[in-house]
Amino acid sequence: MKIHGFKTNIFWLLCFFACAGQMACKKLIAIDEPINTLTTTEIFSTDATATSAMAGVYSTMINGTNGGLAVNSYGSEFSAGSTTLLGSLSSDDIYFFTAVSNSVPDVFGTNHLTAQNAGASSAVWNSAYSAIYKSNSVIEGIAASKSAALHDNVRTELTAEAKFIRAFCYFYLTNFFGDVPMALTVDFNQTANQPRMPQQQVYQQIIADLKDAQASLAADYSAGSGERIIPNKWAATLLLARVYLYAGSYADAATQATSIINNNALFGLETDLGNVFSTTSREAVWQLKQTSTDPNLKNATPEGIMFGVTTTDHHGYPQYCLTDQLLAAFEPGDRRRTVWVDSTDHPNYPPAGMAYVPHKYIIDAANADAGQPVPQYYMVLRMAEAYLIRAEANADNPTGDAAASVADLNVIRTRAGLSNLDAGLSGQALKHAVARERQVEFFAEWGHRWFDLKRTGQAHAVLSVIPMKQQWAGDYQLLYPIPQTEITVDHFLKQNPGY
Amino acid sequence: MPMKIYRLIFIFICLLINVRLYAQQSPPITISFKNAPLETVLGQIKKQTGISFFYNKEVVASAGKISVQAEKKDLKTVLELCLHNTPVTYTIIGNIVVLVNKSAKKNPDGTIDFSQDFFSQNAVHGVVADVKGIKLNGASVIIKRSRLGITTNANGEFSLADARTNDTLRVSFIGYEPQDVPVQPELNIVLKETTNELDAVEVQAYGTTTKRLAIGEISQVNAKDIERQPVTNPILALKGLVPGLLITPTTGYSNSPVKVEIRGRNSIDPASTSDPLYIIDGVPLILSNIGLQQSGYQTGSTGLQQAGVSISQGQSPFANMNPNDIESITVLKDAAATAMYGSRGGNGVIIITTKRGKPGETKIEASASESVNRVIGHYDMLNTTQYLQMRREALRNDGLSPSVATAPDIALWDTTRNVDWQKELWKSARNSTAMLALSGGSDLTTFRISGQYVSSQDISPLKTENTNKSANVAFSLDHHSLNQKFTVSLSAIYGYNAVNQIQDGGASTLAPDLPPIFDKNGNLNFADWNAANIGSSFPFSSLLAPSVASSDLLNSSLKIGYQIITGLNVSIAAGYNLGLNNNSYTTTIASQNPLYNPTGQAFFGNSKTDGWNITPQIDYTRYIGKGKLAVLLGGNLNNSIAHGLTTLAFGYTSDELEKSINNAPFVNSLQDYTQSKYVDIHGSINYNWENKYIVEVSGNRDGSSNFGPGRQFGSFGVAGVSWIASEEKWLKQVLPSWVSLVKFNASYGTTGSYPNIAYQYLSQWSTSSSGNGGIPLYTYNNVLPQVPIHAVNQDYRWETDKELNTAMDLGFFDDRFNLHASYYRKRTDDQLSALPTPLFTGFATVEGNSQANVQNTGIELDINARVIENKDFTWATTLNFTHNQNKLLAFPGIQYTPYYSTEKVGESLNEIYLYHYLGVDPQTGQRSYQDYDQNGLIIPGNSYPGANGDDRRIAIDLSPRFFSSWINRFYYKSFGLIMQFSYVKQIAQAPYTGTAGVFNVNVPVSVLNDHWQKPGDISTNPRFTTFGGSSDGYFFQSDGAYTDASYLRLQNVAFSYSLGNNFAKKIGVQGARIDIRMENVFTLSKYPGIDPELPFGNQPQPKIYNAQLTLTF
Repeated sequence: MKIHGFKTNIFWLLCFFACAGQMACKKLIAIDEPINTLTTTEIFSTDATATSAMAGVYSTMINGTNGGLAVNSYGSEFSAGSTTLLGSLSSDDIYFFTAVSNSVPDVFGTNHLTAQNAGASSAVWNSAYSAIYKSNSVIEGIAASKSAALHDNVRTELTAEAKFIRAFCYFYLTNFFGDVPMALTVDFNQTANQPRMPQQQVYQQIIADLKDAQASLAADYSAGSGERIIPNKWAATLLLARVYLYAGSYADAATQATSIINNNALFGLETDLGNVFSTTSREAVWQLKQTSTDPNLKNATPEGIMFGVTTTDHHGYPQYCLTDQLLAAFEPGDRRRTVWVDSTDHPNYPPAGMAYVPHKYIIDAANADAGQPVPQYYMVLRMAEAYLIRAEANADNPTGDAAASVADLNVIRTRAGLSNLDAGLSGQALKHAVARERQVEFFAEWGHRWFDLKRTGQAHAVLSVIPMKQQWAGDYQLLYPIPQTEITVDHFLKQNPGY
Repeated sequence: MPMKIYRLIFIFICLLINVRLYAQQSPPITISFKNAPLETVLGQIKKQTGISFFYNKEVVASAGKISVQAEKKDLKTVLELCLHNTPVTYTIIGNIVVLVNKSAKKNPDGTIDFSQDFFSQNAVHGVVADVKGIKLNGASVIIKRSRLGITTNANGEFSLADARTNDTLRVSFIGYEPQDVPVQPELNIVLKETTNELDAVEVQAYGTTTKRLAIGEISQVNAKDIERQPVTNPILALKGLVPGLLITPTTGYSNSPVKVEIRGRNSIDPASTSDPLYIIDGVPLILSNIGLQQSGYQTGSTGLQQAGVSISQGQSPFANMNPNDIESITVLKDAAATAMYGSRGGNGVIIITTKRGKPGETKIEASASESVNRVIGHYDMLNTTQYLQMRREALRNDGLSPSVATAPDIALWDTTRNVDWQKELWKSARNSTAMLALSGGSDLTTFRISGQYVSSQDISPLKTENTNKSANVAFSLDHHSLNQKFTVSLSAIYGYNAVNQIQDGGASTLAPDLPPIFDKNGNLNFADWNAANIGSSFPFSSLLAPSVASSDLLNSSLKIGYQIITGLNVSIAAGYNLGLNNNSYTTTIASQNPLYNPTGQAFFGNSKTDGWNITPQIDYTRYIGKGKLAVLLGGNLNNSIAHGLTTLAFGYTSDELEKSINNAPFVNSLQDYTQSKYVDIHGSINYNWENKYIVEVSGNRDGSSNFGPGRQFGSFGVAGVSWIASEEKWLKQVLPSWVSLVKFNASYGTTGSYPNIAYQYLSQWSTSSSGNGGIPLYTYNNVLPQVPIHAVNQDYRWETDKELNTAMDLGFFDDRFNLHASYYRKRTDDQLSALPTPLFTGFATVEGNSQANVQNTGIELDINARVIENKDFTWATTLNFTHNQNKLLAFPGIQYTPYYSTEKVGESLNEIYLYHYLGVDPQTGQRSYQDYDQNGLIIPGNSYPGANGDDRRIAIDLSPRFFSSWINRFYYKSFGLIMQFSYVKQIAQAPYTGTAGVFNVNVPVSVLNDHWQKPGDISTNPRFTTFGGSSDGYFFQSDGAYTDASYLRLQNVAFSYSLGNNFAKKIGVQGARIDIRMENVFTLSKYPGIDPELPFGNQPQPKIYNAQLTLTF
């Protein structure tokens, strides 16, 4: 039997399904962007949202990712106290008084790190790379953005800020860990399986980024409405000077330092040491502005909370105390010893119930008060370093100008209420004077002492004889171990020797 | 984009209108032919009218070429015009015109006598209907001699060429008993519904089938098996009824999520649920995973709750359904059954079909039921005298003397109190249910409306705080046109569910001499605890921390179908699904210690999940040669969105204020959102050759928005064969006559799984680094920051499941005894999970396909027997058995993943690694363990089981070795008795793994009777101590803490009695039935606890006593 009319129907139905099939293309499953989050394209479509991405970098650098919880005993952000704490413990700035054997601060203070117990150094690693990822996101997001509403001046400014932050992070990574993997993109496919890059290569990248930043960033503090909280050309210049100094390019270091020192319009040493870390400090080159709305932090800085004497009556029981070595390094009459050092008379402390703590930040857990004015921001770069960079560049350099070096040191000493050094100082004595000046100027500040000891080759001689650090575990301790979990996941990473 | 959908619908509607016009009865005909063959002319008439012609070709050829001209004439006139000069004449039967030779014999009334002349020319016409007179559309009619067959049209009509006078026809229809009919020219065939399980209708993907003909693994649970269980969540009624299906309630609360696993665990990712795809009346249920409480393998999907916090850890969407509205729940298990669902079918599919009305008198069914839920039993714990004896000994062992500081339970509190906290905190609960259903309809239109109200309680101490209410309505309407070609069906279910829950505070282990829960003023009695300076350990705070939630579920669907020609159907179905959930979890001030000047806080959650679904479909069935070909082609477009808003409100200064966010001084909110779209084209071709060889190929090409560009589309397919060997003549001769069925199935195919989180391929930025809220980042330079929240991988793709299934069916004694046995091997590759990346890339993980390949192999058995079938007495029994073996087949690079510490290649995913327990050291009285590496230390190590330094080497697989159910149904006259037994072979944690002697930790009496007291004692339990040392603490991580927890349980008993008709009429009803049911009747087990399904301390599952009266009007 024949079925009439069948073919026509089939034809129509096939048409229908062909339509359906054709429409079953990508468009049918195209969905709107999520409403509770923004995509990279959305973020980098306007000036305001792109700026918020860079604000994300700064905010997490200083406030962490979990509110005031970042302010715990040893910090979770390299840029909010962790670098200072670990660098100061590892060197001879501070020690961990309430030492519990094998506790995290203890193993740094005694330089008995192992791959397993160095958890706090993972926090440095993780937070620095997290800031690098965010900076890479900004750099790549802006480059990929075709939005006309993202204006060229903002593109240039934010890209330069991100490059500065990337350089800043790599500087600390390479100084803590040595050779480190370099993630210069957010694409994990390109970064996940890489070995560690030689430190020299890392420095090349840092210098390239800083030069870009220096060329593009504003020469004033307009980005922060006058507050020195967004890195500018001078922040890049000072960090560049430091990098040149660390790399031994003394002439370049001196040149960069000079350009800041000569900028009297913006910068000058605060004659009152109590003002150096203030929000209005003329010495500030870059400060991170901590939140003042956090219930734990209140109006204090992370380091203020970390190092404070814990009670206003100075009977408190702080964890971290200045070492005898540091206290001995202060010359008599050094105002830094009185203004930047606080003490407690808690009976537990030897020898006579007296302990000393860093007091560069005046608000600590004892006197922090929510809603009160914030007197200090968290100082990252300050121009005193420019003098000391130039002083060292001239001192450690056969062609350098020893007299100029002494002159620079005297600028710092005068401010500290000390007499001038002998104008004829030179050679090893001068170098020693520079090192000592840096020690007392930058104690408990961003790991300066730790890096200085390492780069000048003095670390073994100075640290291995300190009683607290016995038995000296070995010079391999001068580099922190790469976090073990990173090596587990990326087996091209090799651990630092000795761990 | 929506324009495209409208266009699609428009095209479809046009199509329907087109075919509908075409089907009108005999519209006026306009034709004009010159010297055209009659056949051509007839073709034109058919085109214009839709009339079918039925003729012998030679007869029509004998008419030669004809000329005809007609304008807007009716059919008869035109036919007269065509045929007046030919040897051909016609007769009209219904919608068919039969052409015969004029010489054909006529009846006295002038119609053609089919019995001789025409019939000899091999034509038969008939109608197939059921007992109620409903025409059966698509019934098969086969001439047994030639094995050639056709299917009936929408009106149940068929016409056969080539039939001979002495032929026999076999007429069959799915769900009906086949019938052999001798050929007659006019046949009225009435088919009876089958009683043979093998031929009963079973729902399959986008259609129906029977056990006899199915190639895929399909198990169906019908209404009668769901109704007999007094459960409020219909998914729980599946427990034990389907081989291969594991159902686990996740908490003791009635609305809590249910973990559903079909044929073993596929995904290594602990965050991935084992939930299959659920389809309710054709509409996929939306299960998202956003919000604070996350779904996971152990906890199941949080269901309707996508925001906020609840102590039931979610809301099962099925708790919003009335079990009595469900006609059937069908479980599709293997690739052959699920391949048409493509990337959604990897975990299997569960299809829920609701009840529909039947033509006939309007029927009202009313029922009321009342249940009492009691805990299954109590642990035998120490009384105060024994407890104090234990405590004193422990203090002595530790060198302590009882003081307020060391032992307030001895030194401070009233040591004459003796409270059985289990009795105090686990009070019985009552459930009341009332239901009314109305159904009926005409031949063309049927309907059903039902409503149910349930007031229930969970087992807990404070009844007023713990009353749950739910209400459901269901509605369905079906209509078909007079010619049966056009069908429309509409259905909707709506359920509301409100729960008010509290936690009991760990009843069984509380010390028997604790001070009362409440003080004289009715406040929590913190004072007695504060007096001992242990106010923070007060155990009853949770009693005044209510978790309140209300949820709504709406599922509605509409299906329109049209039969274009016999065997060819088109349809379009559309559905909408909406889930709402509002919850709050309040830490009241009253629940907190007044010593600390507490303030109140509350989590508020609002969730909305909704989605729509459109499914166009075309299917075609016809006989080709000796085989029946069935082709199906369909599409699916699905959109789902989930919204969640969680608000933490805190700082309340009074409990009265906690009802609203508005009254809170501080709030912190987070919004969650996900959307996903799915589109597919699916199809299947089934060729059934004489019900002997069946071949089926089906597949799916689909796309999901949960994948990045270029990775969205995937193809899945399966091929299966079935050989019904008992139909082979040569085998029939060999087989004994009592063997009625021998069938073999084999299939191999692929399905997939996609992540239930959208947008992972996108870079996403948020104002908090965890993305889903957390604490928002602080502003910087007065700018609200945005940070990337996860790593971006655009390249992840489907998880691929490859499944091999083989099965055998045997039937004996005319299929009264059936056995179905299957073996499967399923491999899940390209596992979607969070891949670990070094943190220097920015994030610790990235969503991607890991290399893990997981295999499940298993055996399932399903035996059905109607043992006794008398007029008055029947006994039917069902036995099923499941064994599944899970294995991580391969995982290259596992050592670089977090799974290294929990999983081992070659072992089950559910395996855990334990210390080897050596017993209590007779010298020290401490528990001791095997120190494999002999380093003198028993520490977990931070490596992986079995590695150096890690002494966990004993592997125990916590999945059941096998599980089995045995169901017996007895019917005697109006009495019915159904008993369901289950047996599970498994290992579980022993009921007691703690340390005896610790403050406020009660222990079983058996511990006191057998513990270490002095050096040299050989004992089961260690010395008493007031603090758990590490050596004791490791016990629960050792094999000593695991024991055989196999059990045999009488899961439920249902007794029913239907009142006789006469009596019913006396009381003015059509029928009346009384049901008395029990759930969790008794358990036989060597397990030392009271419920081998739940670990020690947990509230055991309730024993339910239920009585129900049902009246029909």
